[in-house]
This record gives sequence, C-alpha cells and structure tokens, in this order.
Amino acid sequence: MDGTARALPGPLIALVGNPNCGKTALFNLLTGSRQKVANYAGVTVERKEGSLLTPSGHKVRILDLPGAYSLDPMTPDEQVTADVLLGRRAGETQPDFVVCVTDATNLRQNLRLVLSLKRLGLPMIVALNMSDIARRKGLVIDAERMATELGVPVVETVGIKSGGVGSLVRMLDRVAPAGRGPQRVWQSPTAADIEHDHDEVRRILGAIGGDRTEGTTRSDRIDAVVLHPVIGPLILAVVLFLVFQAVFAWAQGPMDAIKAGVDALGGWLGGFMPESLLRGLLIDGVLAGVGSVLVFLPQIVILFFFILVLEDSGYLPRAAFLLDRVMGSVGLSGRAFIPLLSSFACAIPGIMATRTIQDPKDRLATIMIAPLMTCSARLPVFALIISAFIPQRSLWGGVQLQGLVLFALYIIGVLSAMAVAFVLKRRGAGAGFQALMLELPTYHWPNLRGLAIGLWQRIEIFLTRVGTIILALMVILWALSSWPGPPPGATGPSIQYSIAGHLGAALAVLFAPIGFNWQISIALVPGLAAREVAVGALGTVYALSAAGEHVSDALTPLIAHSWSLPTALSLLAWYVFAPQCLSTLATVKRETNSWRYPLIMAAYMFALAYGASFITYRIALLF
Amino acid sequence: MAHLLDNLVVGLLLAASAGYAAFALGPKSWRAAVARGLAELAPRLPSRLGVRRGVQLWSTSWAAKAGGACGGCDNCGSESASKPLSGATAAPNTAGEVRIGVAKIGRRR
Repeated sequence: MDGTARALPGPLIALVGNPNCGKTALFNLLTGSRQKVANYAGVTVERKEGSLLTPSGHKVRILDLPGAYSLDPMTPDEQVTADVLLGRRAGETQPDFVVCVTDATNLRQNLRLVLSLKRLGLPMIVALNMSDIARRKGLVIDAERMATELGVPVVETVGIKSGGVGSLVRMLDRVAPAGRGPQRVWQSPTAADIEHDHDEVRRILGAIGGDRTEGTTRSDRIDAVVLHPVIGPLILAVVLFLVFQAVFAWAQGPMDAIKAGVDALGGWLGGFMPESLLRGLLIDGVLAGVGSVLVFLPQIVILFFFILVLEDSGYLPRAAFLLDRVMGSVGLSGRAFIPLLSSFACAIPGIMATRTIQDPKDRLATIMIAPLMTCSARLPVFALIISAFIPQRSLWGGVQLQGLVLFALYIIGVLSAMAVAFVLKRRGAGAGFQALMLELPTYHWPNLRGLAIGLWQRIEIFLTRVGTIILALMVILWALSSWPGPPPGATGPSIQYSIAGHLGAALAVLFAPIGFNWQISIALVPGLAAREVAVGALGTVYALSAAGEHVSDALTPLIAHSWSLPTALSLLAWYVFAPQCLSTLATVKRETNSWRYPLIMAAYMFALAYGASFITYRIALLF
Repeated sequence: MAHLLDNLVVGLLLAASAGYAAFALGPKSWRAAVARGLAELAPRLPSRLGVRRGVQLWSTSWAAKAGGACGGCDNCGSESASKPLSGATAAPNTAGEVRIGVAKIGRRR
C-alpha cells in the first residue's frame, strides 16, 4: 500500500465471503465502483478498495476481497483474502471490521466461513445477500434468529438493486465510529473445530429455517439438458457458432454507417484545409489509421453482448463442466476453462484469473496458453482480412461463409492451445490430474442494467484505446512514414524513402518467405503494442503509399487488390499465434515472478506464428 | 505564418503522442511516478486555471490503474478504475499485486 492509501481516513471494512455470493456487486453498490461482476466463481482475484460516505457523514474504506471457502488458502486468490484478514500482508493494516457476505440460497456452505471468521475475532456483520432470490424460492430465513444464533448482526441485502444495501449502510453507519475491538490470535482450525463447525451449521440452519432442501429446481431441469453428455456439447458448439455468425451478420449496417462518417469527415477536411503538413497528418495519419480501427466497434460490441449474456446467465461454469473431459485429455483441469474464456476478451484478465487454479503446473500451463485464445484485439485484424478475401455469401441453411471462417479461426486458436498445453504438461514431470470441483450457480435472466453497463464499458474501453494509444501510435507512424522526404527525381511513393519505409524493406526480407510485403512488415511493428494497431498502421501506410486521394477510406478493397490470397491466409495464420502484445508479456512476468516464462512464451508463439504462416503460404501457393 | 503555425501544431502533436506512448506502454512504475507527481502538483496549481480538480481525478485514476495487479495498461478493462457516484467516492486501488513464486502457488502453509 502506498502513502496515499495509508493517509485515507476512516475504518477499513473488508467484504468477505464464498466465491460467487455477490461481494463485488455489493462493493459496486456501496462505493459506486464498476468492477467486473459475473455469475460464476473466481471473477475477483485481487483486493479492490473504495470508500463510502455513510448517511451521518462517516467515511469508511471498503475492501473487496477474492472469494474464499476458508481462511486456510488453497489458491493464490484465497491467499490474498487470508493474508489481508490475518494481517499478514506486507504494508497493509488488518481490517477494522468484516462484512461477511453470504448467499442466502446456499447458507449450508456459506455459514462455515462465517464461523471461521467469528473465530478470527474481528467485529463482523453478516450480509444475507440474494435474499430476494431466496424468498422467490420459498426459503424464508429468520434473520433476527440467525443474528441471535450467530451472535453477530445480520442484515438482508440485494446486490443487484440500487436500494439493496440500505440496511447494510445504516448498520455500517452505526458501527463505523467504534473501530476495532480486542483481537484474538488466529490459530488454524483443528479437525475437531471443523467437525464442530459442521454441527453448528446444521443446528443454526434448523433454527432459522434454512435447512429446507429444495426439490427439483428450474436450474436442475435446464441442467438435465444443458449438461447432457451428448446434447450438452452440441448446445455449446451451436451457441458459440451462432455468436460468430452474429458478429458478421448483424454488424454490417452500423459498420457501413461508421465508415460513411469517417469518409465524410475526411472529405470535409480535404476540401476545407489547404495542402499542408497538418492536413497530411490529420487525413493520412489520424483518419486513415484511427478510422480503419474504429469501424470494427459494432463487431466488438456484438461479441461482448453475447459473452456478457452467457456470463450473467450462469451458463459459463456449465461450459467449464462440459469441457472438463476435453481439458483433462490434455492434462488441464476444467478449472482452466474460465481463465481461458476470459482470454477471449483479453489475455490479461485471463492470466490473472489463473489464480483460482490450485495446481501450480496447471496454472503455469494455463498462463502459457492463454494468449492463444483469440482476444478481441485480434477481431479487427481477422475481420479486415476476412471482409477483403472471403466472399460474403450464404452456405446451407443461411450460414454465412465469413462467420464460418471467423469461427474456424477461433477454433484453431483453441485447438492450438490444447496442443501446447498437452506438450507443456507432458514435459512437467509428476503433473497429476486434478478433479474439477466447481459450484454451478443458479440460472437467471441477465440483468438488463448490468448488461447495458457492461456493454457501455466495452465501448468506452475501445473508444478510449482508439482515442489514446492507437491515435498516439498512428501519429508517430505517420511521422516515421513521412520523413525523410523523397530525394529529387524519386518516382515511388514518398513512404518508401522514409524511416518506416526503410524499416519495412529490412523486415520484408525476414517476412518474404511467409508472403508478407513491406507494408505488412511495417504494420507488425506498432502491432506489438496492441494487435488492432496493425489495422490502423495498414490504413496509414497504404494511405501514404497511394498516389490518389482518400484511399484510406477503403482499406478493405485496397488490400483485396494489393495482396494475394496466400498472403492474406498467411497473415491470418500469423495472427492466430503471434504474441504481439507487450502488456500480456508484462503480466506474465508479474504473475510468474520471472522473466523466464514471458520469454519462453514470446519465443514459442513467434516460432508457431512463423511456422504456421510459412506452411499456410506455401500450401496456398500450390492452388 | 500559417505554414509555421501548421508545423508547430504538428510538432506539438508528435511530442504529445511520443510522450503518451512511452507513458502508456512503459513500465507501470512510470505511471505510478507520474500519478504521484500529479497528485503533488494538483494543490499547487492556481485555482483560476480551473484544472485542479481534473488533475486530481486524473492522478487518482492513474494511481488506481498502476496499483492494480495487471499494471493498468487499460487493454482489457477488467480492472476498470473506480468511478465515484453520488454519495460515494473511489480511492486508489493500491498494493493489488500478488508476488508469489509460481512454484509456491497452491502450497498449503
């Protein structure tokens, strides 16, 4: 913790609870934060801090901790929670107060942690979260009796409703000024303690009316189909297939509108501004580069719409369950599924989510293969090449060919990841198979407000990236592509004589065997910062390479004419594998505490990318 | 004159872009240092400039991102910075990084 945080006034209140009991939803409501929330365990893997001003003006600091089943950690994320609560975390004071968040629909499991926390001796409130769902299920829990039985205050909360934390805030208001009471020395529970806790949970559940077991629930009936050994995987394949179909089928209209907007702005600027350096920068650098990335916003929004719906509905852990056998065949546990699925958005949260994996070798293997999952930054590159080279036509049953190719690219990424994991696990001596133990949450309809916020966040993130790092890199690339100018009597486009042109020519020697021209070779360099920057770079490079005006408006037809099909396929193969993202490598370094693994990752992925592109290019040339 | 002004604007845009790229893609300790520097600078800024609040928010936001375990490159958005709503305020997300050797992960104490 740095000085800024230490100087913050007010008692520190930790939100603790089992995974997927709604801690982060409560944290967001209490502090006004917008941390990621989803209907599966293991979303929060590090501490998050915010603050709350109570109605009577007390400022309290709220700490959201990763979910834990006990204070005896099994995984790195549980370790964070245990270390903070036990005051073992370097530079951080022990919380003054604990709010133990419990899932009212699953008290049998949640109460064990409550009893463990009571043993810790910190002042505590129990938040009976999801009390609305419990009530709908007919579970009537006597909160007052529960408070009496536990000897701590109990309040009902609903983490997904804006007024759902009123009683908790009022309670915090009362207890906040009191601060920390006397502490006990923590001792790990003995077998007798654990037995006692089990008995105690049974006794309390009997007293408060929480021991009623439900019959067959709606979730059970859905699971009978969704988790069926034959129908289940088929449903999963169809769901994923439809997502990628929608990415192309639904996005065309909005993409055309954005493209028309960028064209109109370029035309207006071209007519309005006299020939100058600034005009060149704005049209060939900014508009050509940024505009060609911006156009892919609708596809990213559609992809995330489906991911968010699947996350919120509770289907994703089922997918992990279905894929456990496939994961097991390459030596990974089904627990690796959630981190790998997170990597479809971006490898960074995926790599961080591996903290929920107990076995170190499993965790390392998952980290190493996470960047092979096709992240959303690769979508603009794939979409650009597919739009340019794959005809927009329907196959049988209205299935779009372009969507099918995109689906195939994602599948190739997944299969490659499985193959790499298999090799890694084979090399790791003594790696044993870990059985998957996963809590399956109750299905529910996605929360529309949460969905809208999630989508808006994705739009915000994409536009921020376009307006910051992509814009900055396009301006730099434009400068490198414009200076020095062509010598007197030069006949080629001026970019050929620039720094970027010379760099591209040098790199083209290396990439010629896989069919890349000098323009592609230039675009790969800024693509190291973020993959979609390569699309913007191609826009800028081709804008400066062309003799005519406003060629930037139509990058797709331009590359369709400039590249051969083998080159396009080779570039697709390159982007399935290449780790052109420095942030991912930096995260791997941080998560493994070593430079060894990011270096191995970069080396093996470059080798795979080059090899796959070479084979693709050479085979395509034969046809 | 217009030509000179054009070149000046291009030069400034280039310098700003290069500075931002180094800041955003460089080590997270750079971002943390800039955030600290801005936090110290904010109270000293003349109030008539009207930028004090903006600089404070910016430094808080960057401190939060740099404090996160991921490094706060803003690539994924999963570590979205806290955004204050009415009645609630966000504090920097600090010391989020876990430094556990990979071989020690998952071992019981």
